[in-house]
Amino acid sequence: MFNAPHPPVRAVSKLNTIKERTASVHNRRREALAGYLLILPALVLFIGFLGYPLAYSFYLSLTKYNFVYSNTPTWIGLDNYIKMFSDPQFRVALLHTGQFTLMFLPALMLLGLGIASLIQSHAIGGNILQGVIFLPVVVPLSIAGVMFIWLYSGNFGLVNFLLNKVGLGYIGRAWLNSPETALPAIAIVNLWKYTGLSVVLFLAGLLAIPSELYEAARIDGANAFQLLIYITIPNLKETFALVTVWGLIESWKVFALPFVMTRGGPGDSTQVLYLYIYEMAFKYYDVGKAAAMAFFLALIILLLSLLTIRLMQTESQ
Amino acid sequence: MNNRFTFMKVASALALFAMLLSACGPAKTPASTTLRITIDSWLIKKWPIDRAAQRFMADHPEFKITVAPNADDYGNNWLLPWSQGQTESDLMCGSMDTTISPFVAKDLLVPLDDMLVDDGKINLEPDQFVTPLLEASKYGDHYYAMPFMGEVYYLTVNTDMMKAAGLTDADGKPIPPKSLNDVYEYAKKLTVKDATGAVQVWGLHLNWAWNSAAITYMALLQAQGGGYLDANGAMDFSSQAALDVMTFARKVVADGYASSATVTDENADRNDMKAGKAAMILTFHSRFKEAQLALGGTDKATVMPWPGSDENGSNAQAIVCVIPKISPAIDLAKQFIREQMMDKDNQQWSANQYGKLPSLKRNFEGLPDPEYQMVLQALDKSGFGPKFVQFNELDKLLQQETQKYILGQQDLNTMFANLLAGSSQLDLTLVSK
Repeated sequence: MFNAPHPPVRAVSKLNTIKERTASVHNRRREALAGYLLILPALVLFIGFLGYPLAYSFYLSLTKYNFVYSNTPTWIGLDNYIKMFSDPQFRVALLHTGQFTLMFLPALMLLGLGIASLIQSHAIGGNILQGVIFLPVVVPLSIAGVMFIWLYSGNFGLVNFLLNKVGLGYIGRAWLNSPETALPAIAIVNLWKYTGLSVVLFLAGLLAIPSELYEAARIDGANAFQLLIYITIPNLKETFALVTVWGLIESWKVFALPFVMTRGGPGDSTQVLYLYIYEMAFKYYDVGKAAAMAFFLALIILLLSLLTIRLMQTESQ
Repeated sequence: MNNRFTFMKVASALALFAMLLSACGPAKTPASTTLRITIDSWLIKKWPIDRAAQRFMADHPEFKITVAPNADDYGNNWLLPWSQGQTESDLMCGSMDTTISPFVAKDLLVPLDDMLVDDGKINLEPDQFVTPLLEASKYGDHYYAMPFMGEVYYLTVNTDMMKAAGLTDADGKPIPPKSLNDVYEYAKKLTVKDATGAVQVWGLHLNWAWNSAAITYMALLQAQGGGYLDANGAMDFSSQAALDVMTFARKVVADGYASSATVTDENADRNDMKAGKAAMILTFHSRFKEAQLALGGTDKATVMPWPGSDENGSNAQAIVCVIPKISPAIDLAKQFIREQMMDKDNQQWSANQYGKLPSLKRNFEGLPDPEYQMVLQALDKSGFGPKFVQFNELDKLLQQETQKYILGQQDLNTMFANLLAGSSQLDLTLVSK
């Protein structure tokens, strides 16, 4: 008997496979289309409220344009970027922002890691304490600023009152009124606000370190300091990178506290870059210069963040 | 099933998108029978705007008035929308006076010259107004704002402290100082220190805050020499009067008789006065009302002239209304201004409650507090903020340099050199349309 089932079976199965493939491709396209349509509103929002304003801002940074006294922007290329460095107020603001970062960031890391270590080792503990440490994070910066104006007051302030109580009344002063102490005083408020978040991040990093590493090291005779240097810190590289990048962004973008607490004073001792950009745009209406400074600030933050990540990656390798 | 599911996904996405688009687009323009008033938030309590709105609607039931706070004191939040032809305010009220310069420069405001007439019912001719309050709103030949309230820089004093220091006359009224030396001696007598040398009561506060440094400087100069502009029309940073007032301002702080707390806390002076920790403060005169309330009686605080301000004036500030050109209710706004903002009862309410000054001279008649007549005399001779194109930059420069000087970070010559150098870089021509 002639048995030739295979060719017809193969032909039919081939045909079915082609049909299936075509249907599959068609379905995938429809799925993709549906997906794009679903993200379309978010995309429109992104382009409308972020993409286009960024692009237009960048264009303005390349123009001379005063919103009140100019009719239209005038193209001047990179002039705003070049001339900003000869503006003494810009230089002062840049310096103060850098100083603020140097005051804030290392303290943030030390406090964050220190408190997280104490919590992890159960030296201090409890969820309530962790909640209390985290509480300032949810307090709006403007409210924190107003609160600390009163705490720092020379006449009525709690800080001076407590210093008096412990016999240190002689160092009491109007903390925000003194050019030497105003910026550090603001940095302390920023620390108060954000330490809780760094504690949470470091605590998560510490809890992720396998306890066997510590046990093995102790068996080998490592002391507490050696455990810290050879186990804890190396295993917290990613956390350090995260906290550093986030801390850099928060410190270079500092605005609300100097705006509420000192308005850049006394003199110009708390004039920071973001505040100057705000004044340039909304007080002096020079949006071209303001946009240029804003992009310069963004560039600084980007470069510092990339440098941090790169350094952490290099050390890991 | 697959087709139906995909269809549902696509339909959901399109529905979301449609919802998003429906939220875009300009707000509907209300009819011209609705007047949308926006007012600085601090003013809502200190001027009877809600009562004025109710009264107007009672008199004119065909109209509707709404009142809302401005998002930004000084009204800056309206600059952008008005430039784009959009508004949710038909009548904006606030402490703007010279800060309406950007609005004038961009031709966003309705000139109000046609309001300054006597229509037989309400006389609003220019001579009816307290002169500086109206002139502050004049740019070129036109008026762009209508003042309804005023303030002037004057000394507010704690009467009991003045009495205790022997600085009152036979009737118990504080004796006004006649010179800067007198003020220095007063501040010295009035300052109280405890056993450790810490100041418990400041003899004097001068306000060098971010929003007051320029006003304080102008008030001191105006009182000292009769003006704060130099021969070229720029701010005076070189005359003997300028040197004298700033030398005094630094000395009284350095010697421990005046507080510098206002450098970072613009309310330090009024708070100290109300807490009984300051004897004299040079600031807006209406603080005397706050002090009377806080210290427990109308005999507890009063005002008196800074040396020279009774002859030469001080610095005045006008609280004004402006009407945007794009408002659909311009005539209604003007009618409201005439009938309610200029109303004697409304203006006197603010005076009696909060010490704010009426903008019309006739509305001072019948005010019970004797302080108002004294202040009115000085107010009529006072100056107001200059309408320079870059006044905001000058203001900031003044704030920074005077604060550094007051705190001893730089000397007098350096301060004035920096002020002259900095102001020479600015456009100090007058704003015009």
